[in-house]
Amino acid sequence: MRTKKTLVLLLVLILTVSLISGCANQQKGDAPSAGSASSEDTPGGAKRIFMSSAYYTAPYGAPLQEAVQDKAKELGYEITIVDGEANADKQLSQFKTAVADGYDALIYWPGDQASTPPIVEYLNSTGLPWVALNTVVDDSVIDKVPCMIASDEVEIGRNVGRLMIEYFEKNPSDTKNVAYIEGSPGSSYTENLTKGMNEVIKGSGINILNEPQYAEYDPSKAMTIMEDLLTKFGDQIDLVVAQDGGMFQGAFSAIEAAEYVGKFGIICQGQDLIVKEKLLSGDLYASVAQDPYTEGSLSVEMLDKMIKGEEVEHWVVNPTGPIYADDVDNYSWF
Amino acid sequence: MKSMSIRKIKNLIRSNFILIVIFLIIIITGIIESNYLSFNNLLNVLRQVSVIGIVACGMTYCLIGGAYDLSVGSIVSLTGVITILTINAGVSEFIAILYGLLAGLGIGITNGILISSINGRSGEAFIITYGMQVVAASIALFPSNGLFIAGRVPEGFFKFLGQGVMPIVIFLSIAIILQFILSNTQYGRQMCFIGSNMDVARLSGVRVKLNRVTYFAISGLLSAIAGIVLCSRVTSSNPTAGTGFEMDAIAAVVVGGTSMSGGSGNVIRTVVGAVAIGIMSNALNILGITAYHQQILKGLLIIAAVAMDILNKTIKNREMEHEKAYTG
Repeated sequence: MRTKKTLVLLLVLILTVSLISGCANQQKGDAPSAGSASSEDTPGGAKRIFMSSAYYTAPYGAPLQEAVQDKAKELGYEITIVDGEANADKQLSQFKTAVADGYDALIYWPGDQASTPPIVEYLNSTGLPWVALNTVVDDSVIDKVPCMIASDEVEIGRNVGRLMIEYFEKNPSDTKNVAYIEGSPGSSYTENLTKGMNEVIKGSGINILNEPQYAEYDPSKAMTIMEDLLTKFGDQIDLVVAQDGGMFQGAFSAIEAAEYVGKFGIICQGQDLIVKEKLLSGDLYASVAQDPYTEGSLSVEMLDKMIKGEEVEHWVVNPTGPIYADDVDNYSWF
Repeated sequence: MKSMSIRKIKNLIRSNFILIVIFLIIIITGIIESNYLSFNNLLNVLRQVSVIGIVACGMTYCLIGGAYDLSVGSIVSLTGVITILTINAGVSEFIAILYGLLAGLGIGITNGILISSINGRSGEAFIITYGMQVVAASIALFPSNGLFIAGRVPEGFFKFLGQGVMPIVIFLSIAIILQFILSNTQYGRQMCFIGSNMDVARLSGVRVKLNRVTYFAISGLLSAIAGIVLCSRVTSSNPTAGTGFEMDAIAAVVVGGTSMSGGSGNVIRTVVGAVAIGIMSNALNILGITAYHQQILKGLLIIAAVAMDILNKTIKNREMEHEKAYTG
């Protein structure tokens, strides 16, 4: 009797979870269910696009996915977006289910560069049009990707490095000490940004004060790291660099609480609203652009061309560059 | 006589292992980095551990009562999202805080009712609160669309909660109140009774179901308070901010010496556990140890604490058996 009750309760819980997850976002799901309608069965025969998003819940993911949905709707496609949880195995099985389910085109947002080869090989074997989005695939399969829409991550890092040099040219000091807060350990995005930055600042006399500190794109973790960096280095810091807007927000809260605002410069990357606000207030020296909306929109545009048999560029680069307080109006903010 | 005093010293070391580790970390780091021993840094550490510490206080009640609550991290995230979105919508910050607290309390009560209604033991509680963790995490993503939300928070009560020593005051006040209830009330004694043997407690007339609902309600409410303090500190909310908090809270409770099998524990020791983990993380950051090595050391501290707890219990049992045999 007791076991029966437990089973019933667990079943109710599972159903509730599924229901709420489903309601929470119609596009989010584990994978499309087998046997659902193909494009011929859908109303009006609209073609169906399937997207596996590695970073569904990341701050950058929301505007990007919104752009994918908007552009798909505009071009008359049905779109399903699922959470790949940055797990290559999961993403591969999601694609296999989608193919079995009769989807007409695929969008692949990889979680990490290194894990892309088997998925790229599989997607090519399906014969369906597909594009890779946001994360540059591994070098070994880069030529096999029909179309890739991504920022040059290393170039974003180079832009950060150029801004650091520019900051010290405009604000000369005896030392060029930088406190640097990174994203996630092992993430190719994080590593590429750091790689690009290091390329540019090499030989410039800029000194990164701390060992790698990863805030995992979480404002509260960035705040803790910044507090500790202020304790250790305090007045030695000339510039703080954060790899995204969320981590900038956390670091800034720590800087504000310790009454260090204005005592050194801050640079970050991203187009979050808080970044715009702090650029305008003068608390942030500059940011580096990476527009998720443009990127998402381009992915569907390119896929549309491929479906229609038109030629597409192999790598459509999402433009990046510095943003200063003077030109915030030229960019979208999220 | 000499062996007696050696045994006493050994017992003292074993039962205060964590305190000794904290003391050594403080001394060694303080020698290497003089800034480490500054008053400001001490406040930093306490502020940093206050959020997870508040969650851990609630978790202590659940563990003493014989169950895990895995939904706490998602409650922290959800509360933050609700509170910041409500404030951003222009609603009074007091109402926003109330909404956040009610959400946490509601989830906690739901957990408690579900678990009590099936007389669930720790296994069932583990699964049910895990289910609730997924539900709450999904709900947190819905209104925020997965985005981190910058708060448009005016100067006032909400901002005050996360500034200066307020997070520390909230954390320590909660710990003292919970410890007082645990050691000085019938409710506290019943908690230990239920945690050590639920069936006997029921047969003895203890209202087991009602009591168990309250443990989860308290845990949910405290997670909501932690979520509000966290958002106030960074004046923003992240729908995944509480991810992993459940394990950090359990680690703090266990490092503090509360039994994982239920029936005994101490909230003040949980404070010590949370502070120990915080002091170690802070020391490693200040010493410039890379994030990879930090995780290894944190894991080893937790394992050492559990091992020491088991060793203590084994030795105590052996001594009791020895005494019985000697007197009998």
